[in-house]
Amino acid sequence: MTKGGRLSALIFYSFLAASVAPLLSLLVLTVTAAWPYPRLSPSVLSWRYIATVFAPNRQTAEALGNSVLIAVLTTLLTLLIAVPAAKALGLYRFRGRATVKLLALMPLMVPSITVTMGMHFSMIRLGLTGSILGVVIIHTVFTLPYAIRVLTNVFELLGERHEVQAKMLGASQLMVLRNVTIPLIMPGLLSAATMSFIVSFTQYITTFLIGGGRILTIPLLFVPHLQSGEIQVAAVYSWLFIMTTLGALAITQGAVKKFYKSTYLLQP
Amino acid sequence: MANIKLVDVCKKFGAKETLSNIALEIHDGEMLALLGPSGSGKTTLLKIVAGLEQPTSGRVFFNEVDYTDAPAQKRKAIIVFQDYGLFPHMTVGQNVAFGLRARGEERQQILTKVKNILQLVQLSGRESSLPAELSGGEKQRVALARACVVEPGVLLLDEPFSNLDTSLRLGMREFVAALQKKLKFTCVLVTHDKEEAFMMSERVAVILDNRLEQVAPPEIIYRKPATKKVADFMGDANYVPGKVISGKFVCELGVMPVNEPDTDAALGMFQGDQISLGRAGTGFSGTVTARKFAGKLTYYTVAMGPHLSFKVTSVTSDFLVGETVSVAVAPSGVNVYPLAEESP
Amino acid sequence: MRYYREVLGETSFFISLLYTVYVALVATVVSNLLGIVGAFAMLGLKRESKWPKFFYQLPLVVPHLVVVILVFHLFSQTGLFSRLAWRLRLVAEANDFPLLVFDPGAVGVILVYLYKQIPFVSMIVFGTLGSISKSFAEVAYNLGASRAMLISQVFLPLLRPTILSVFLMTFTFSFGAFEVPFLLGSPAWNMLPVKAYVYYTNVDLTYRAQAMVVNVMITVISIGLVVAYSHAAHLRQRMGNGGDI
Repeated sequence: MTKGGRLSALIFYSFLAASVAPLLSLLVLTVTAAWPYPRLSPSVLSWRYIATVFAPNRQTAEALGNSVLIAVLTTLLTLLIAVPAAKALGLYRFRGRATVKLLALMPLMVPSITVTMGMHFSMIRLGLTGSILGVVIIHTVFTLPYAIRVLTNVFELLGERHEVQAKMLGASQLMVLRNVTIPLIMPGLLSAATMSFIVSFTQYITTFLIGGGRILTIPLLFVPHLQSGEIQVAAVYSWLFIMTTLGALAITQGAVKKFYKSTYLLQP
Repeated sequence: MANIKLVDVCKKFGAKETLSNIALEIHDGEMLALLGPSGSGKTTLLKIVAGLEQPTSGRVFFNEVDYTDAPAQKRKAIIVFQDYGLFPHMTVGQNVAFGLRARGEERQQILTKVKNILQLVQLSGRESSLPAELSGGEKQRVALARACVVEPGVLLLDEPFSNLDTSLRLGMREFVAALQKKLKFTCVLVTHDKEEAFMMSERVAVILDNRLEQVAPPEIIYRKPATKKVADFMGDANYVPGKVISGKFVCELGVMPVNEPDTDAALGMFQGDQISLGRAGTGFSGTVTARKFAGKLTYYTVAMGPHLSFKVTSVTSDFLVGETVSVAVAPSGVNVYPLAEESP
Repeated sequence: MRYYREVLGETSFFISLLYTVYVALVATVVSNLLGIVGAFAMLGLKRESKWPKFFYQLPLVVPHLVVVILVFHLFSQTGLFSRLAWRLRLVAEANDFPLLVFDPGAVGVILVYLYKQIPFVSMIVFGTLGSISKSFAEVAYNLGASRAMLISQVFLPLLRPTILSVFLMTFTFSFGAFEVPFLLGSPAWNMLPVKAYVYYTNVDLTYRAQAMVVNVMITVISIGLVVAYSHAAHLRQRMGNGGDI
């Protein structure tokens, strides 16, 4: 057993290193001014590229603002649609339920480029291209399937009994929703929300096509640097990406923990 | 066949003690019940015997050989788990054959053994069913067959009947008892059900709060609980404080012969079914304050005075609440324990 | 229909299709194999603490675009591995280092998928493994099984539906993702999504019809995979319920 344990640890920690080490080397890249071949470490370090990225004329603030706004709106829209849809799919038996479940999965499986090109025409007709709303809608198309899937599973596991119990005890619809349903589905809700946020935050081609170049987000700022080989600037954006994502994760986790502590004292 | 000896077995999970100094010998070919409430550490003890858990300290002997550090595969102890643990992706036949294949037996021999054991547990013809297609009782029998087919020295049954309906349970108990007689394996039955332990085993080991309190044949456990804890667990206990003076227990109900050393602070225990009620008149009297009719038996609460009331189990249901009754205790029905600070 | 005949008639379409399948298949097979190994390694850890597992999952939240940079930074001809090779005297100059990004073999693209998908596969497989492992491991060891027998006869068969659905999920993603081959792929070899994009953004708007044809083809293949996926998910559910554990 101990031999197996040591082998497991060896494999796991080398995988772990492969996951983390490249990100750290990327961190070094953000403060690198010169790194000529074939040196293994940078020859000149400086804050220059970080300063460049956050310089007022670089539109970083605008892009970050847009990215976060779009991601938050997308998350809200996703949950607004996914919760009732998942409840219907998870709790009620109706004809065509299996088909609807399958259809809800589609955008997860059909490539985003295909879906986006398909929706581009309708968006143009509706005048939604080039607007924040249009981008939010196209992002929601890709976040919904995941959210619906997770929440459907949650509703299937929970069943209806808690809500029925609450109603029998005389709770109003609103009270059932606030005090029973939402706390019970909170873990699923959290998972769906963070996933939606991340997916929206990292969209490139959808924002590019639907935003028509007018909506600037971090990925849109970032890809040209990647293509032109300005790898240091791209590295700075990468870390901005990762930090924002982790920040969003931490905030939601923290909020939920606080919510459970203040409202129910115990984890459900 | 095997006899098992546990010497000072302790098990801690972190700081929490699950088993404390268990010393127990299980004889060759006997049926022993490990009786205790859930959470008392019975299942952990079973896993230690099977080698699925390591004791924190203490030794485990099989036929006088120290097996404490031997891996589970080397032991001749097979557990039948509470949830049966049938592999859901294997058929009945494959499940039963698993242990034989693990032992590298020949294919032809495996087939014969599987066929024979399935016949014995009355599941012939179900070889190719999946566990999901079986009833609870059938799953149980597959699990038993899977364990018995490798001819274990010891069969360890972990709450084997708790997932069955009451009606099935009685049948399965008899079935297991018959199987044990036929295949003559040593058998340890873990249960929280007193009746089950008494009915099925030759000896009962009572585990309470992670300690082994008493090991004895069922009737001794029931009639002569070694400690107050065991008496409490058996239920039906009434306590009266008193003294032991030269081999006699003296209390307000009278004087009874006991086999205990003298003490000023003793507690006499009378079981509810060792107390008989009668029409008021002779002996002590009390007032019935509660009565619960439960068919074969009736449960009374009888107030004997301002501080003393008895719980009495009786076959007669004649007495009513408020009635004054005579109360008689069988002189042989008293057990005496030291009077602890906290008691009554 | 004319456009269909035109697009499907081109050999370049089929070459592109085969190329896409090649990239997706290699990425999926390798990431699934290593991911499963990773899951078993996680299972074998004694009292694994929270933080290593958290860091192992980090690639899940790292966007593909960032992974593109990582791969470029590490595997390009002037990347870290090339420098390491120089240090070890394996190459004399940067150009001697094999072309691993923008290459026809799509190694760079595949590496991006591996980075993202190995932890993903590990986490999903570990999830299932965690729920079946302890009780079934005890049963199997108790009946005398070796570790090898436990893994091959009990764990892997029970994991089959999970692995199947993870395999399909990762394959569909690698098959249809646009950004990664767009940024790291060989300029001469287009994967299908890139091909659609190239048609779509052509100044000659008649190419949009061709783009749609490619899209329809991708969609048809993807739908096939979705149906297969839901079948796998169904299978998983049935086994899960039938387990009674």
